[in-house]
Amino acid sequence: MPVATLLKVVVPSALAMLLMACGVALRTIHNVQDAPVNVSSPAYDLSDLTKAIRWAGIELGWKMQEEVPGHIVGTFVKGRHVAIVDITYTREEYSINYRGSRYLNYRGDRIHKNYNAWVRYLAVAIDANLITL
Amino acid sequence: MNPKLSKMIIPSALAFLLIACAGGSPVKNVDNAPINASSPDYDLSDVSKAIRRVGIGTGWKMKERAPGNIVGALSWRSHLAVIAITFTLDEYSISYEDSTNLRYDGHSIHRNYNSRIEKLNDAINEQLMAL
Repeated sequence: MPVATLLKVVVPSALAMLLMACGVALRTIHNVQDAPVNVSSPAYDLSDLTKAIRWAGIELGWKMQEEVPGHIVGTFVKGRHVAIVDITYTREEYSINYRGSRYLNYRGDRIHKNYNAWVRYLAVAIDANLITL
Repeated sequence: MNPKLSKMIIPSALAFLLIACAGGSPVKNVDNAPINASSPDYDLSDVSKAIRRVGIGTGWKMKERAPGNIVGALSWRSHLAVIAITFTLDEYSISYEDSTNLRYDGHSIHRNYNSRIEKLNDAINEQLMAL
Protein backbone atom coordinates (compact mmCIF):
# COMPACT_ATOMS: atom_id res chain seq x y z
CA MET A 1 0.00 0.00 0.00
CA PRO A 2 1.44 3.43 -0.89
CA VAL A 3 2.41 5.47 2.11
CA ALA A 4 0.28 8.39 0.91
CA THR A 5 -2.87 6.28 0.89
CA LEU A 6 -2.04 4.97 4.32
CA LEU A 7 -1.64 8.46 5.73
CA LYS A 8 -4.63 10.00 4.01
CA VAL A 9 -7.20 7.24 4.28
CA VAL A 10 -6.39 4.39 6.58
CA VAL A 11 -4.95 6.27 9.55
CA PRO A 12 -7.75 8.87 9.81
CA SER A 13 -10.50 6.29 9.48
CA ALA A 14 -8.86 4.02 12.03
CA LEU A 15 -8.64 6.98 14.40
CA ALA A 16 -12.28 7.87 13.78
CA MET A 17 -13.34 4.31 14.49
CA LEU A 18 -11.32 4.27 17.69
CA LEU A 19 -12.97 7.51 18.78
CA MET A 20 -16.44 6.20 18.08
CA ALA A 21 -15.68 2.96 19.89
CA CYS A 22 -14.11 4.41 23.02
CA GLY A 23 -13.69 8.15 23.18
CA VAL A 24 -17.15 9.58 22.83
CA ALA A 25 -18.71 7.24 25.35
CA LEU A 26 -16.61 8.51 28.27
CA ARG A 27 -17.88 11.24 30.56
CA THR A 28 -16.83 12.94 33.76
CA ILE A 29 -18.30 10.94 36.63
CA HIS A 30 -21.66 12.35 37.68
CA ASN A 31 -22.15 12.49 41.45
CA VAL A 32 -25.17 13.95 43.22
CA GLN A 33 -23.97 16.37 45.92
CA ASP A 34 -26.24 17.36 48.81
CA ALA A 35 -29.53 17.23 46.91
CA PRO A 36 -32.40 18.50 49.08
CA VAL A 37 -34.67 15.92 50.71
CA ASN A 38 -38.07 17.28 49.64
CA VAL A 39 -40.85 15.42 51.41
CA SER A 40 -44.58 16.03 51.59
CA SER A 41 -44.86 16.13 55.38
CA PRO A 42 -42.35 16.80 58.18
CA ALA A 43 -43.35 13.69 60.13
CA TYR A 44 -40.62 11.31 59.02
CA ASP A 45 -37.44 9.87 60.46
CA LEU A 46 -34.25 8.50 58.96
CA SER A 47 -35.67 4.99 58.64
CA ASP A 48 -38.51 6.35 56.47
CA LEU A 49 -35.87 7.86 54.19
CA THR A 50 -34.00 4.55 54.12
CA LYS A 51 -37.14 2.77 52.97
CA ALA A 52 -37.98 5.40 50.32
CA ILE A 53 -34.43 5.44 48.92
CA ARG A 54 -34.01 1.67 48.95
CA TRP A 55 -37.33 1.17 47.24
CA ALA A 56 -36.47 3.70 44.51
CA GLY A 57 -33.35 1.72 43.66
CA ILE A 58 -35.00 -1.69 43.92
CA GLU A 59 -37.69 -0.64 41.43
CA LEU A 60 -34.96 0.22 38.92
CA GLY A 61 -33.14 -3.06 39.45
CA TRP A 62 -30.49 -1.85 41.90
CA LYS A 63 -29.46 -3.94 44.88
CA MET A 64 -29.74 -1.57 47.85
CA GLN A 65 -27.87 -2.56 51.00
CA GLU A 66 -28.09 -0.44 54.14
CA GLU A 67 -24.59 -0.28 55.67
CA VAL A 68 -25.43 1.96 58.62
CA PRO A 69 -28.31 4.38 59.18
CA GLY A 70 -27.82 7.17 56.62
CA HIS A 71 -25.66 5.08 54.29
CA ILE A 72 -26.86 2.72 51.56
CA VAL A 73 -24.63 0.94 49.08
CA GLY A 74 -26.31 0.58 45.70
CA THR A 75 -25.17 -1.97 43.12
CA PHE A 76 -26.41 -2.05 39.55
CA VAL A 77 -25.51 -4.96 37.28
CA LYS A 78 -26.18 -5.00 33.56
CA GLY A 79 -24.57 -7.89 31.70
CA ARG A 80 -20.94 -7.85 32.80
CA HIS A 81 -21.10 -4.14 33.69
CA VAL A 82 -21.28 -3.27 37.37
CA ALA A 83 -21.78 0.14 39.00
CA ILE A 84 -21.52 0.62 42.76
CA VAL A 85 -22.49 3.84 44.53
CA ASP A 86 -22.53 5.22 48.06
CA ILE A 87 -25.80 6.90 48.93
CA THR A 88 -25.48 9.00 52.08
CA TYR A 89 -28.33 10.97 53.56
CA THR A 90 -29.59 13.00 56.47
CA ARG A 91 -33.08 14.37 57.07
CA GLU A 92 -32.15 17.38 54.93
CA GLU A 93 -29.89 16.16 52.11
CA TYR A 94 -28.71 13.16 50.19
CA SER A 95 -25.69 12.43 48.00
CA ILE A 96 -24.82 9.72 45.49
CA ASN A 97 -21.10 9.11 44.99
CA TYR A 98 -19.06 6.72 42.89
CA ARG A 99 -17.78 3.77 44.90
CA GLY A 100 -16.66 1.28 42.29
CA SER A 101 -17.33 -0.29 38.92
CA ARG A 102 -16.47 -3.10 36.55
CA TYR A 103 -16.31 -2.92 32.73
CA LEU A 104 -17.32 0.73 32.64
CA ASN A 105 -13.97 2.15 31.48
CA TYR A 106 -13.38 3.87 34.80
CA ARG A 107 -10.28 6.08 34.65
CA GLY A 108 -9.77 8.59 37.44
CA ASP A 109 -12.68 10.96 37.00
CA ARG A 110 -13.99 9.50 33.72
CA ILE A 111 -16.41 6.67 33.13
CA HIS A 112 -18.73 5.20 30.49
CA LYS A 113 -21.72 7.48 29.89
CA ASN A 114 -24.16 4.71 30.84
CA TYR A 115 -22.93 4.95 34.43
CA ASN A 116 -23.97 8.61 34.55
CA ALA A 117 -27.38 7.82 33.07
CA TRP A 118 -27.97 5.11 35.71
CA VAL A 119 -27.06 7.54 38.51
CA ARG A 120 -29.40 10.20 37.04
CA TYR A 121 -32.25 7.72 36.77
CA LEU A 122 -31.66 6.64 40.36
CA ALA A 123 -31.66 10.25 41.59
CA VAL A 124 -35.02 11.16 40.02
CA ALA A 125 -36.55 7.89 41.26
CA ILE A 126 -35.33 8.78 44.77
CA ASP A 127 -36.81 12.29 44.40
CA ALA A 128 -40.16 10.82 43.32
CA ASN A 129 -40.23 8.54 46.37
CA LEU A 130 -39.18 11.28 48.79
CA ILE A 131 -41.76 13.83 47.64
CA THR A 132 -44.50 11.24 48.17
CA LEU A 133 -43.07 9.98 51.47
CA MET B 1 -26.66 20.11 -5.98
CA ASN B 2 -29.78 18.74 -7.62
CA PRO B 3 -32.41 21.55 -7.33
CA LYS B 4 -35.09 19.06 -6.36
CA LEU B 5 -33.00 18.07 -3.37
CA SER B 6 -32.46 21.59 -2.14
CA LYS B 7 -36.07 22.71 -2.73
CA MET B 8 -37.95 19.79 -1.27
CA ILE B 9 -35.95 17.36 0.73
CA ILE B 10 -33.92 19.79 2.80
CA PRO B 11 -36.88 21.98 3.88
CA SER B 12 -38.97 18.98 4.79
CA ALA B 13 -36.08 17.42 6.68
CA LEU B 14 -35.65 20.70 8.58
CA ALA B 15 -39.37 20.88 9.32
CA PHE B 16 -39.31 17.32 10.57
CA LEU B 17 -36.32 18.08 12.78
CA LEU B 18 -38.11 21.12 14.23
CA ILE B 19 -41.23 19.12 15.01
CA ALA B 20 -39.20 16.32 16.51
CA CYS B 21 -36.97 18.47 18.70
CA ALA B 22 -38.90 21.57 19.71
CA GLY B 23 -41.08 19.56 22.05
CA GLY B 24 -42.24 22.39 24.27
CA SER B 25 -45.95 23.11 24.69
CA PRO B 26 -47.93 25.02 27.32
CA VAL B 27 -48.15 23.14 30.61
CA LYS B 28 -51.34 21.10 30.69
CA ASN B 29 -53.28 21.48 33.92
CA VAL B 30 -56.74 20.15 34.68
CA ASP B 31 -58.90 22.84 36.30
CA ASN B 32 -62.02 21.97 38.27
CA ALA B 33 -63.04 18.94 36.28
CA PRO B 34 -66.45 17.68 37.47
CA ILE B 35 -66.67 14.40 39.38
CA ASN B 36 -69.45 12.39 37.76
CA ALA B 37 -69.86 9.60 40.27
CA SER B 38 -72.40 6.88 39.58
CA SER B 39 -73.89 7.06 43.10
CA PRO B 40 -74.18 9.98 45.55
CA ASP B 41 -73.01 7.91 48.53
CA TYR B 42 -69.34 8.75 48.82
CA ASP B 43 -67.17 11.01 50.94
CA LEU B 44 -63.86 12.78 50.47
CA SER B 45 -61.84 9.77 51.57
CA ASP B 46 -63.49 7.66 48.86
CA VAL B 47 -62.38 10.20 46.27
CA SER B 48 -58.87 10.15 47.75
CA LYS B 49 -58.74 6.35 47.66
CA ALA B 50 -59.99 6.24 44.08
CA ILE B 51 -57.33 8.72 42.94
CA ARG B 52 -54.54 6.91 44.79
CA ARG B 53 -55.68 3.65 43.25
CA VAL B 54 -55.07 5.23 39.85
CA GLY B 55 -51.54 6.01 41.01
CA ILE B 56 -50.85 2.37 41.77
CA GLY B 57 -52.19 1.33 38.36
CA THR B 58 -50.25 3.94 36.36
CA GLY B 59 -46.92 4.11 38.19
CA TRP B 60 -47.52 7.54 39.74
CA LYS B 61 -46.37 7.69 43.37
CA MET B 62 -49.08 9.39 45.40
CA LYS B 63 -49.43 10.64 48.94
CA GLU B 64 -52.25 12.45 50.65
CA ARG B 65 -50.82 15.63 52.16
CA ALA B 66 -54.10 16.87 53.58
CA PRO B 67 -57.76 16.07 53.01
CA GLY B 68 -58.47 16.98 49.40
CA ASN B 69 -54.79 17.33 48.51
CA ILE B 70 -52.60 14.60 47.03
CA VAL B 71 -49.05 15.00 45.81
CA GLY B 72 -48.14 12.82 42.83
CA ALA B 73 -44.70 12.06 41.38
CA LEU B 74 -43.66 10.12 38.31
CA SER B 75 -40.08 9.40 37.28
CA TRP B 76 -39.08 7.84 34.01
CA ARG B 77 -35.42 7.61 32.92
CA SER B 78 -33.91 10.99 33.85
CA HIS B 79 -37.27 12.78 34.03
CA LEU B 80 -39.33 13.66 37.07
CA ALA B 81 -42.80 15.23 37.20
CA VAL B 82 -44.41 16.37 40.46
CA ILE B 83 -48.05 17.42 40.55
CA ALA B 84 -50.76 18.39 43.02
CA ILE B 85 -54.17 16.78 42.74
CA THR B 86 -56.73 18.78 44.70
CA PHE B 87 -60.34 17.76 45.03
CA THR B 88 -63.69 18.31 46.67
CA LEU B 89 -66.77 16.09 46.44
CA ASP B 90 -67.71 17.77 43.16
CA GLU B 91 -64.49 18.67 41.35
CA TYR B 92 -60.82 17.87 41.01
CA SER B 93 -57.81 19.66 39.58
CA ILE B 94 -54.35 18.55 38.50
CA SER B 95 -51.62 21.19 38.67
CA TYR B 96 -47.93 21.28 37.89
CA GLU B 97 -45.66 21.56 40.94
CA ASP B 98 -42.12 20.67 39.96
CA SER B 99 -40.05 18.79 37.41
CA THR B 100 -36.56 17.61 36.54
CA ASN B 101 -35.19 17.53 33.00
CA LEU B 102 -38.49 18.39 31.30
CA ARG B 103 -37.44 21.81 29.95
CA TYR B 104 -39.94 23.64 32.12
CA ASP B 105 -39.53 27.41 31.68
CA GLY B 106 -42.43 28.82 33.64
CA HIS B 107 -45.17 28.15 31.10
CA SER B 108 -44.07 25.53 28.58
CA ILE B 109 -42.77 22.03 29.12
CA HIS B 110 -41.71 18.91 27.23
CA ARG B 111 -44.73 17.42 25.48
CA ASN B 112 -44.12 14.06 27.21
CA TYR B 113 -45.22 15.73 30.43
CA ASN B 114 -48.52 16.77 28.90
CA SER B 115 -49.27 13.38 27.41
CA ARG B 116 -48.62 11.75 30.77
CA ILE B 117 -50.97 14.21 32.48
CA GLU B 118 -53.64 13.46 29.88
CA LYS B 119 -53.29 9.72 30.46
CA LEU B 120 -53.45 10.20 34.21
CA ASN B 121 -56.50 12.42 33.88
CA ASP B 122 -58.30 9.83 31.74
CA ALA B 123 -57.57 7.16 34.34
CA ILE B 124 -58.73 9.37 37.23
CA ASN B 125 -61.91 10.24 35.38
CA GLU B 126 -62.64 6.59 34.82
CA GLN B 127 -62.05 5.67 38.49
CA LEU B 128 -64.21 8.54 39.74
CA MET B 129 -67.11 7.59 37.50
CA ALA B 130 -67.06 4.19 39.18
CA LEU B 131 -67.39 5.72 42.65
